[in-house]
Amino acid sequence: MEGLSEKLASKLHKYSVLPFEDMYGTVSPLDAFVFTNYIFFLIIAFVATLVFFVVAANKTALVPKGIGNLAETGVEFIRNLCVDSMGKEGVKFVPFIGTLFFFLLFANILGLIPGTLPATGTIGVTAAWAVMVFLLYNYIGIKKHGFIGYFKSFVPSGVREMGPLGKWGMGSFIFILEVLGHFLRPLTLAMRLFANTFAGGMILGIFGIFVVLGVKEISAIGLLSSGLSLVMLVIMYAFKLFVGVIQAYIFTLLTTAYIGGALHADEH
Amino acid sequence: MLFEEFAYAAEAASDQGASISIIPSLAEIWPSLFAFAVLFLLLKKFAFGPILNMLQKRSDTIRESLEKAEETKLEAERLLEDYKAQLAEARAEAAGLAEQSRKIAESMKDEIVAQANEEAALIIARAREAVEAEKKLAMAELQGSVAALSVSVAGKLIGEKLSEADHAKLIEKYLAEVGSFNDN
Amino acid sequence: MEGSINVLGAGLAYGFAAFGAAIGIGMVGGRTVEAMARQPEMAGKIQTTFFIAAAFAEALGLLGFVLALILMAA
Repeated sequence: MEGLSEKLASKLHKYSVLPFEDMYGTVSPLDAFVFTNYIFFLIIAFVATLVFFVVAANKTALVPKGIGNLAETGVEFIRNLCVDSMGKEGVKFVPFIGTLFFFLLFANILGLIPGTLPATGTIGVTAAWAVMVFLLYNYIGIKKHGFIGYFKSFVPSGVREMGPLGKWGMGSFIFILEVLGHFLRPLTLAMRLFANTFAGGMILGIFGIFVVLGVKEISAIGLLSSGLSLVMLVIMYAFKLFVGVIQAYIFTLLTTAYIGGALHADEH
Repeated sequence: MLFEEFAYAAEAASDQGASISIIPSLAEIWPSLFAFAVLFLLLKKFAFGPILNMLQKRSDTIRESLEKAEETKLEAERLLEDYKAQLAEARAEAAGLAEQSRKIAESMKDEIVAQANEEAALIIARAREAVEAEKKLAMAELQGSVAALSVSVAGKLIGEKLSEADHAKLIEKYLAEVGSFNDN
Repeated sequence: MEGSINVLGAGLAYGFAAFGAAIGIGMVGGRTVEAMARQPEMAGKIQTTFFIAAAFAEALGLLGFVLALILMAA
């Protein structure tokens, strides 16, 4: 297995955040104005989403067909998602949720093309969006229920009606847990998407390396492992496609659930 | 063995300046937020707005046409009821007319028959009168000739001449008897 | 070789974290299938709830992943 560590190192290198024009440069977290490799593919996903929807929106008709029908099905899916978790007022969140879902979807799917990177494969992008979602749903909750009312709703009404000991003792304990949970939300949202996408890419890379290394060792075992790795590579591609779609869906679904929870914070 | 390779790989990667950091880089945070915001605004204006409008319009159109169809159906049913009622009315009217004309015909027939009967009765009565008159006339003539004949026959049989006056009395008497017989 | 103990720690951290998360998600998934089979008309709602519940379980696994990355870098 000679050469594995170098190849793995270069894979890891390829998947790390780098300046786009300089493969051997570094990006420190505080460099705000570096055009990184992931941002390049983010812009490609941006353009793809925009072009798809603008073209599709111009093709809509009372009797839909083709690309217009596809886009409408997508929008209807988002609308149902919003209405299911937020009720009637969910319709006004359709543009936000739709942008989120389709941007994620296009980024994930386009990242499957060999030689490209999924824009969601870096913590910077996912964390930015997760924090955006976090701020948005808390803003919605505070706007709807007032500052005090929103934070009061963290403690279940059953506890609030207990005696002073239960109310303040157990209530504050639950409140702290809830606040922790709320801060864990953007963290897990960001990590889930990043980890799934990044790990998916690495798995594909590793199987790719095995295929190449197996062929290099001109022996029966080498060829066998190469063939098996090729099969696994194909399966993993299909799996990654599935994961890409499902992770975009989960990110969106959890966003709608959080917004819905903030809207209906007073109901439990 | 494989494990060592991975360890070396990690080291080599970090030597090459690669870091799988979980510290988000500012270079990615603001472009992704900016891209999201721009995409959100553009899609809201150019894609989701029109598509949602279209979905709304379509459901409206479908609901409207369903309502219209329902209305048309009701209208058609109402018209059908109307026509049925009209048809029944017309049929009843026609039956009434037929009945009426039948009655008229009947009464005309009765009238004609009655008139014919009357006329026939009249004719018969006249005929009878005429016959009666003839009969009386014939009877009177017969009485006259029978009286003369009887006088001459009786004179010859008896051989005795009766006075004219006695003859006349006798003949009158017998004639009355004969006449009364004849009447009966 | 001094980096290798970090890598070992990272691997163990992620392994154990994934172990718990996997059990959790497996239980949630199994019950979801049962519930869907019992009430197919509720499948949509059950699926949504499944994703949310699985997200809770997965959050712990993800914390393990984060810890693994921190250990790798340390």
